[in-house]
Amino acid sequence: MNDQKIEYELVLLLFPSLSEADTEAYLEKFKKEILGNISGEVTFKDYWGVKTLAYPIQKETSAHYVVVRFTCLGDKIASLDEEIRLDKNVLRHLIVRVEKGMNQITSQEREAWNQENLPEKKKAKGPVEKRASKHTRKPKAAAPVKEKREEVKPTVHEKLDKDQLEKKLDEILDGDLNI
Amino acid sequence: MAIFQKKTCYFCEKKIKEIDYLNGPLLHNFMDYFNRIKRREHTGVCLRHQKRLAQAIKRSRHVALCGFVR
Repeated sequence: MNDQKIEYELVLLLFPSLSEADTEAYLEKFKKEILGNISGEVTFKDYWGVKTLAYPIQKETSAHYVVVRFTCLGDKIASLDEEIRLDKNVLRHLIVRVEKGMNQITSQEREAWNQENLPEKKKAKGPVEKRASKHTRKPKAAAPVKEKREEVKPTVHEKLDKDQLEKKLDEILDGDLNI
Repeated sequence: MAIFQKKTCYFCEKKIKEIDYLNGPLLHNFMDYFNRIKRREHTGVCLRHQKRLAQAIKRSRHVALCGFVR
């Protein structure tokens, strides 16, 4: 069992103060030295560019995102994890074991997938309607809604009436002129 | 006046086995305004996928693709 190499996925957040050339240099160093020392092999690499973070980490609001997939022996992961943790270029990292169903896609492919699939989902989701119903469940909130509806309806009728009146008036006026 | 609708699991419909934890916009659809994970009664996700979804959201929070609180 120990001789088998396992595939892992590593997400690296590098400091935004680094330039792109620096990040590439760091990645090559990572590939050769850090992974090379434990005889790991990179199978997939995806550089996302600088992205804004959902929340500030160490007072930084953005970071270089890099996703790397590599294979290595399972018992070397702990030392690798520690080594990355102590690295001064790395803001944060995450090592995940690759499961069978996990797709290997780039960030561009992911965006394309989202554009195809996400708008459909919003329609089918429906929790927005539920939320609205939750708020209107209260009897106090329900009563004014009814009143509003009643108020709105007559205004619509009035508008229609006005239009009809105008048409009728025009007809009458035309008739008068004809006479 | 609750309306009960039978919902189907989004991931079962799309035949997604493992949920992509790097897909922030997708995960945001299963979180509420305060970045809490929505209950599966709310979204219609099946139990198997809810467990994987929770794992994915927690991972994506760690790499700052989703927030913990708002």
